[in-house]
Amino acid sequence: MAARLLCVSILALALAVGACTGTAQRTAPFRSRPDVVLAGDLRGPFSGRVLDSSTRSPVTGALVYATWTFERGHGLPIAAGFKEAVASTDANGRYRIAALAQVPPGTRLTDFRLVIYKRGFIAYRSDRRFSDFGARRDFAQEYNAVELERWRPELSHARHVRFVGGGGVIAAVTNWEIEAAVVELAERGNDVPGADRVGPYLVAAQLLSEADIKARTKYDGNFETGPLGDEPDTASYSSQHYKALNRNESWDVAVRMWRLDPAAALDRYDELRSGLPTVDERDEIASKSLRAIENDINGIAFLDGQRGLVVLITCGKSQCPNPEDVVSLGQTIHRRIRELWPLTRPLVGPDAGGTP
Amino acid sequence: MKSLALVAGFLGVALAATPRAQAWETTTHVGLAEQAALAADLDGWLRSLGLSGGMFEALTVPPADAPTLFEALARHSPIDGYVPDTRGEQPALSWLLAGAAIADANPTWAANHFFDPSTGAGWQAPRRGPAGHVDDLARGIAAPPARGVPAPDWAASAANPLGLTGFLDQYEKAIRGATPGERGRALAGALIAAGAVMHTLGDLSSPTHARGDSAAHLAPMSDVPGDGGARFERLVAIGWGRLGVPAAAMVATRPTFRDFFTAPGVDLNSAGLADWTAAHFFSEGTLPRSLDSVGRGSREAQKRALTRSLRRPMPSLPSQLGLVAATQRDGTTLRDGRGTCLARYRVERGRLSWYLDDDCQLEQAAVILPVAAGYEAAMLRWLSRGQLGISADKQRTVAVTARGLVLRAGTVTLLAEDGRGLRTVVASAPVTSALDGEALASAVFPAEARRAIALYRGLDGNGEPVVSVGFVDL
Repeated sequence: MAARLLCVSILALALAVGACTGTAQRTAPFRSRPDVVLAGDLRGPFSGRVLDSSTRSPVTGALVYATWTFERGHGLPIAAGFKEAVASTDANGRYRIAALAQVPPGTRLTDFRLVIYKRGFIAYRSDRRFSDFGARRDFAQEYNAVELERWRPELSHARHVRFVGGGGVIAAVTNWEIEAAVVELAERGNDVPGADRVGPYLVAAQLLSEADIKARTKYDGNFETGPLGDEPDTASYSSQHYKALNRNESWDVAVRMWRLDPAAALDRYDELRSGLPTVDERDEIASKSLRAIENDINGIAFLDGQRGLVVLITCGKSQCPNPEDVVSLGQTIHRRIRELWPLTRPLVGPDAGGTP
Repeated sequence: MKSLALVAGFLGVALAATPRAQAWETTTHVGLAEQAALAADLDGWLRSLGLSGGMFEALTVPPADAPTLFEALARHSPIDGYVPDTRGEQPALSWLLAGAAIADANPTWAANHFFDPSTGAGWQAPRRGPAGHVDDLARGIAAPPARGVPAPDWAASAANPLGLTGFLDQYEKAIRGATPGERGRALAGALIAAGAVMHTLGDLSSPTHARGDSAAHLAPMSDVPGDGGARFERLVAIGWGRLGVPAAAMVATRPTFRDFFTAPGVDLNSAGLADWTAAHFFSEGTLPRSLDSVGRGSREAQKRALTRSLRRPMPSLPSQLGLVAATQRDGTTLRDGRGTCLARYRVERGRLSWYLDDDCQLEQAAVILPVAAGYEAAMLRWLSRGQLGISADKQRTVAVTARGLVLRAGTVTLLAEDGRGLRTVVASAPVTSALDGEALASAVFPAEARRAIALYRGLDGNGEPVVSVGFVDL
């Protein structure tokens, strides 16, 4: 018993010393510099240069807001505070954030994140991209190269406000954009015949899983998923991009879904029929369907007239070497639509089979 | 502000304790709540309450009114969008996310976010030997709670200030409050409670929470001394963060509050979230037991042995495993009908053993997260369900009917709002029962009233508590 107690005491002492002398910070998920593979230091310092992606000229006066977050507790930890740093880009577009002086006692440093915001541009986050909210992998602790894209009218302020985050510092420069987001959502609610629309909530991301793709194509890699960057999701449009990790675009899959009233859905389908390359109308899925081929991409579009849905699936030829592959994915999607949105009685529509 | 003060009081107790329990990490919870809010049309609901800013309507809770709430929020980085400014102002959506962030602000609350449908039990602290306890002492860590209240009970408990009762109380005040400021504070409180309820529900999508696997919450998370927790949940936080949480799957509403948490079944149309999770996924501590001498004996004997190796009936094992492939160095994979990795297994020297690696768990998370967000969205729709039909004639007689819900015992209150936004009670009447569309009450409104508001608090046709609201401009 005495020996056991001694062992336990030695173990406890070792752990206690470890706790005092340890660096109390996790490994940084970013590189120290863009040209090296060494992990950076969560404490910093941080530096970089911000350019306008369209002109390559420096962006001056952009807000650079950074936070370090701390945790404490063993086993099931909780938030234990944060430190923030605020800076702005100089005349050359450069920024610098001094290193964190001290990790508060009893806590460990778990994260560092940075936001760069300038009105008229799409904001930059060190952890996520705006286009698809996917993980950013090019952030570097020092000599970080940031290219801000100019804001485009078709982009969503509501989505951008969510992307940028909050707090007093951010709110001070984004209040105008929150107002724009409110107007945008109000107009969307008026534009879209959605308030009393029949049918459940439905977005492209629900229609096809990574497992569905792998089951069909036997692909053994991984995907990064998120909305496509072509246009923002709205009540009438949504998209999902299955970006193959460490592969070229010929391994990617994309699903676009339009949810409209039946007449508009038919118009949308006709637009695809006239606009897509090498169209072959087969009507093998739902009310109407077509196959399309362009270089390294196989595609299929179908119209579900009863539900007012148009779906376009594109699949690179490395992932879907045969047109039958993308047809199979289309059939999977339509099956899922029917599961998510069962029709208890036929709706009146272009292909509803008669009028009352 | 009484309820917010109550919330603050509880948080005060909470923050004094050493934290010891967490489920999905905060960024994941906030991302799930955000996706749920989008799927449940939080924006439309708030606009229907007369907030022209919808989910971006600025709501203010003066920090002096709820100091401990602000102390809890001050522990979080503002960069994820749910920490108010120094005046206590932030958009409505952010208050919902704040509730999702602080639901496990203390170990006692966090221990109440577990539920194993096979036993009905909540959190039970893993057994640790003397070395573990001395280790805790050396690190200055308080022992975790020995037991927790099962999550469905905690979410419905009147003792939980961020539970269903707290939500209903605050929601009622957000309609009944005399001044716009009072109503805005109460609505922020209601959203905090709703976010916390969604958090408690969402935790049951984590297999360790739904399969009684408390030991999995003590895994080492990094080289940092004392940095331990649930590895699966850390992986998810790294992989998806807040913004990367995928869109919500479609999950149908449920007749009762408890049915969202637990109800028999295995599919999204019938099962409670805990039942769905427990039936579809293993956790690290509830993988099948290792088996010796596999591949020997009759097929029937092997099948019986495999069945006996399961700690729970589901997920079940196929009658035949890929035992040849399992002899490879990395073993092989058990997949479900949709191709999702459930576990890896390998055979070494005739011994079959099971494990979960990062890639396998990431596949599982890609399936689980949309479902979790879907259940949270369905819960948010359920909390905000029901509207009252309300109409006014030229004589300013306002009539109220049940709409979209059958109502049982409760009270309907008619409120008048004047040009300054002040609300006063015009009439109040008990309701014994009302079918959808049935008249509830009517009253003549004063000339200065600009808007009529109807409020019902009571039970719905399923005997569940509900606050329903209707508005009409006069």
